[in-house]
Amino acid sequence: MSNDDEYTIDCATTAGAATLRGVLRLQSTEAYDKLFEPIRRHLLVPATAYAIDLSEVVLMNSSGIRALAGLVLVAKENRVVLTLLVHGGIPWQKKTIASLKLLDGRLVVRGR
Amino acid sequence: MSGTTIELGDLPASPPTEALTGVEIELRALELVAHWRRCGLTADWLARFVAYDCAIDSRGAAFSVLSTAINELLENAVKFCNDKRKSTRISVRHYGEFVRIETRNSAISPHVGTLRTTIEELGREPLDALFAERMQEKSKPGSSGIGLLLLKKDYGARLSVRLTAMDGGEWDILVRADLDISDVEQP
Repeated sequence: MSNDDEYTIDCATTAGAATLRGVLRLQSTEAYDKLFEPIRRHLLVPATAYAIDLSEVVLMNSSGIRALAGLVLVAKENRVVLTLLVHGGIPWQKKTIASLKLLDGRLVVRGR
Repeated sequence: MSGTTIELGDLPASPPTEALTGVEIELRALELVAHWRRCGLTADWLARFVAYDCAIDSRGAAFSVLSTAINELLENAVKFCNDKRKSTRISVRHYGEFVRIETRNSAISPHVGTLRTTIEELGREPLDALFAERMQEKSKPGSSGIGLLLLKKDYGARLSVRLTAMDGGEWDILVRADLDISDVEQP
C-alpha cells in the first residue's frame, strides 16, 4: 500500500487487483514507474489476469497516462489479461482510457 | 535572429474584445519545481474560479476538464523553462463560446525545437496513430508532448504556439489552447 495525502495505491486488499484512489499528478513518468512497480510485478506473471481499479482516480496527468500505457504494454508482452475498471462520470477517464486499447486489443475497459 | 517570431499550430478562435472572466498569474518555475503539487494547486484554483461561469450542474465537469488542461500546460511551461528563476505566466479567459488558456515562459533551442516538432506533428499526423506511437516509445523525460497530444485528441483543443527569438539564444514561448465551451461543460 502506498499512501499519500493526495492518493493511495492498494495492491494487497484484493487478490489479482490494484485499487488507485485520489489525484495522481506526479512530476514524471519515472516517478510513476516507481509508484507502479508493485503492479508491474504482478503483470510479469505470464498468462494470468489482473485488474486495476481507477474508478476513484479523479485527476491524472499525462505522465500518469503514459505510465498506465507502460503497464498495458507489460501485460501485453506477458499475455496477461488486464482489466481497467473506470468511472464514466470522470472526464479524464471517459475521454482517454479507451485510447489505451489501441496498444493492446485484449485490454478490457469496464465501467463500475 | 533576435526578434524573429514564428507562429505554428491551429488557427486560434477569434475572441470578442472582452472576456467574461479572466485570470492571469505569474509564478517562478522554481517555486513549482520545489513543490510539484503547486502546479495542480494552481490549476485547480484557476479551474474552479472559471467554472463558476458554468451552469451549476456543469461545474463539476468543467472544473475537471479545465483543471486537467491548465495543469498540462503549466507543467509543460515549468519543465521547458530554461531559467527556473524567471517568471512563468499562465492565464485563463472565458469568452462565452470558448475558454482560452495561455502559458508564457522562456526556453532555449533544444526545447523550442521539440515543441515545434510536436505542434507540427499534431497538425499533420492521425492523432490515434500518434498516440499509439508515442506511448510505445522509450520515455524521454519532459519531451514527449503527450500532454498536448491528449488535449488535442481527447479534449478538442485548438493548439497554437508563438515563438519569439530573444537575445542570448533564448526564446519567449507562448502556448495557447482554446477549448470550446461544449467540450468543457459536457465532456
